[in-house]
Amino acid sequence: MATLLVRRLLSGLVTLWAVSVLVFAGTEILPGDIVSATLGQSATPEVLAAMREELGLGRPAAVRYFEWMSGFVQGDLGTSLALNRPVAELVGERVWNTFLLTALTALFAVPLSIGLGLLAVAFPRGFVDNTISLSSLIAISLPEFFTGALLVVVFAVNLGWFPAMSYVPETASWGTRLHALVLPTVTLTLALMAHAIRMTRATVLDVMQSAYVEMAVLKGVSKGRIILRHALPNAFGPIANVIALSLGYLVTSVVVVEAVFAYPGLGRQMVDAVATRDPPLVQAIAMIFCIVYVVVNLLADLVALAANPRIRMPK
Amino acid sequence: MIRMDELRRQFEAGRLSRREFTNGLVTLGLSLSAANGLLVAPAKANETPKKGGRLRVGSLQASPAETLDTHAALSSIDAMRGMQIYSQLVQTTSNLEVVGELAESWEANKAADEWVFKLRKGVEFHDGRDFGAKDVVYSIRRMQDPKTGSPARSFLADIEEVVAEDAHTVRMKLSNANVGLPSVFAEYHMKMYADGWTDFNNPIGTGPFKLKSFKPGIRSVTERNPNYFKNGLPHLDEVELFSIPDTTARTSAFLAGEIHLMEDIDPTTIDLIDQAPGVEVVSVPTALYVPFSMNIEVPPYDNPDVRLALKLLIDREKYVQIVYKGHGTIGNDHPISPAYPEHCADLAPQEYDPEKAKSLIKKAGYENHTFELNGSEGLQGGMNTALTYSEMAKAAGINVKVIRNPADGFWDTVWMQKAFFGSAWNMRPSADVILTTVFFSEAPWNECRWKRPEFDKLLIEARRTFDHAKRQEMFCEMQRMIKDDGGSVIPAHGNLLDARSSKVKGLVPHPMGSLGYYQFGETCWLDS
Repeated sequence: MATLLVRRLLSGLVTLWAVSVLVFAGTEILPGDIVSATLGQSATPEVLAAMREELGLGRPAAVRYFEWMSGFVQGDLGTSLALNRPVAELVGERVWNTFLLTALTALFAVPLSIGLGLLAVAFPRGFVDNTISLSSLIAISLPEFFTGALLVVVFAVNLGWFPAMSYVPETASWGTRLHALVLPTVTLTLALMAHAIRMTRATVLDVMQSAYVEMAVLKGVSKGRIILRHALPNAFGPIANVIALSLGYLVTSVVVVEAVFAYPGLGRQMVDAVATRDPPLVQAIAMIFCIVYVVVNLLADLVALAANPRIRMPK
Repeated sequence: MIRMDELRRQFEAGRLSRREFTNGLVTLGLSLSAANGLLVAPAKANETPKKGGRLRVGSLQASPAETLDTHAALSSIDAMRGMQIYSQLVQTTSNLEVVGELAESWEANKAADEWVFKLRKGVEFHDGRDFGAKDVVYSIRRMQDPKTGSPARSFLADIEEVVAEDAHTVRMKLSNANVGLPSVFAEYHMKMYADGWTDFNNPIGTGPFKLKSFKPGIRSVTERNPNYFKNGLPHLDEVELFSIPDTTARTSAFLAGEIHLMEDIDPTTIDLIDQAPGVEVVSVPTALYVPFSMNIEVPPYDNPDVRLALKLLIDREKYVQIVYKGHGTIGNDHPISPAYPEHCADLAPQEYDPEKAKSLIKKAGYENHTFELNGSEGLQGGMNTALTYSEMAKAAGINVKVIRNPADGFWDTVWMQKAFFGSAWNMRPSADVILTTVFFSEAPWNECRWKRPEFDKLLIEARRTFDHAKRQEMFCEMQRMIKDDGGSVIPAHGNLLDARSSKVKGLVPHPMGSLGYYQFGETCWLDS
């Protein structure tokens, strides 16, 4: 058990490191750098050279990577090239906005999708199952920027129930803030649920076809009791994985949804940072997303371990 | 035959749609851009501005590097905040006539190399200190300092000396004569700071609004300056400015009524916005241009016949329709559009003659040559400009292959690096400035490497010619030289396209930039 945990932790760290190399390489491959991105057409060769010198961009990429890396492991996220302010401070201003949006989404999406997934299992191939499956298939096929725009057209532009722009100053009341977050939360919830419902349904249906469930049916156990007492605990590990994957998916969707709703979170900050070619900022946000992904998956593994003695105690 | 005032009357009575109105004017012989131009200024004089309210504005710019140091501003949202907080020596009207702001009057010596500016008295900064000559000296020297990183530095390169003669008089000595110096100070970077001021997180200026809060890349709020030096202005209590870079998001926020003014609409959504109730498209002719420029030092572009052929193959009316949905002015292969007072109306428009283009290419020996044109989604009008051009070339039997380049890094890796490429130039405060920036032989951004000593001589001569008629003649000649021989194909000048809620009154359109050259805050008011 302990060795398994350590192994998972180590592989998480290796993933983080690999991602940091990829992201750094990515920002290197992009044409242009902060200097040309900032100055654009108004750059003359002398100004370019002077600014690059000042920012230390002339040094080899490997040197810059290891400088960043050694800072990062000591908890120093570096300094934004565009603003000359600590990255930690810049990210700190936005991270709670994104956290609020994702937490709200998870709060609704996770119980709803497990519930609807189970409902579909309870009445397989009937009207309920078909409706749930079909609508989740449609929701899966629509990209978030489309669902978001559609919701905006109907509920913001035509009906005027919710604002199209989700930014509310921190000084506003919680009621106002939550009201502004309804549309992006619904957009993300739809995208997330579509995946999670289908995976819950598939996993639990799989268990439902096993021999011991058949035995329970033959013994006359009620359907609700079979699903909740017999099938669900056995499907718990896989469902935890589904949730972990969905939450990981959420972290990437949030980038798109924040842009559509002009919501100042980490996702939009990352897009802006890529446009201004600010590698320390891009790097830091990518690492935050990656850490969330790794941690959530790690937790899912732990839940799966706790729920399944066969994995917990291998022969 | 319908008459113009009849059309206008019908339009204002709501009997004609915008489209019918402009079409009517076009049949009367007006260019479409001129027709659009007539539409943007129907401000009725009999309406009394209402006081108060918060104007909400959405900009397409969003960058963590946004700054309140307008000397070093790089984007339109910086320019908008700058116009709210600070003032300038002068501004220009929509006809580019120079009018005094902080400067009351100005005068040059006969040689046009020494200028005296008399400043307005009794102007106060937001913190109560008096504005005077020493503030002007500080601000100009600061913009000249390379450390400031001001994009406007080159405009001031000729100012050798700037001194405060007394508390309200500033004298400037130029290394090269320039009769157009005052209009340079109308450029949006030219803000007057308080002497020695460097704390741009807490800016003080003499502008119509004071800063209340500012988050780069997200939002700013400014409030009315009760001591503003123009009596009765501004009308608004506050201006709230949002960064909404995503065009769809900005359009939604606008249509949902969450912002009153929207910077930059997508030309493809013009009809949608036109039809929506309570909102209007603000389409303003400008001199901005997106040329296809050639490096004339390398073949085949060193051949004047090739250059001319590449200009003759465009059906320009159609080009403006396709690329700008009709919201543009036809270009004449030189940068001086009718939005500049120096525009030469006598110069014949470039012909549309695909047959002649074809024979010129044949004569030059490039019959089967493929001309590779480098475009980018990042240029105004996107890939539509280059693709439309290439289709028109095909119709003339000339093979123009379009290469799509990412917007990121375009200026670094494509512009002036390839032999045939797209580019983009905003309107400048005067014809002299744009010609000096892009067509003067020694200019670092002479993107075509078009070097003509006789052109340089004319440009310098025009700078010391006070006689308006003579000067105009020189500018005409320069426009002719660029049109006939230059390395840029300039099919059109796309309009500035913004949108406003019908509640917003008093917006004064200006060809040099979005939303009244960013000065909407001073004049706008909200009708309930």
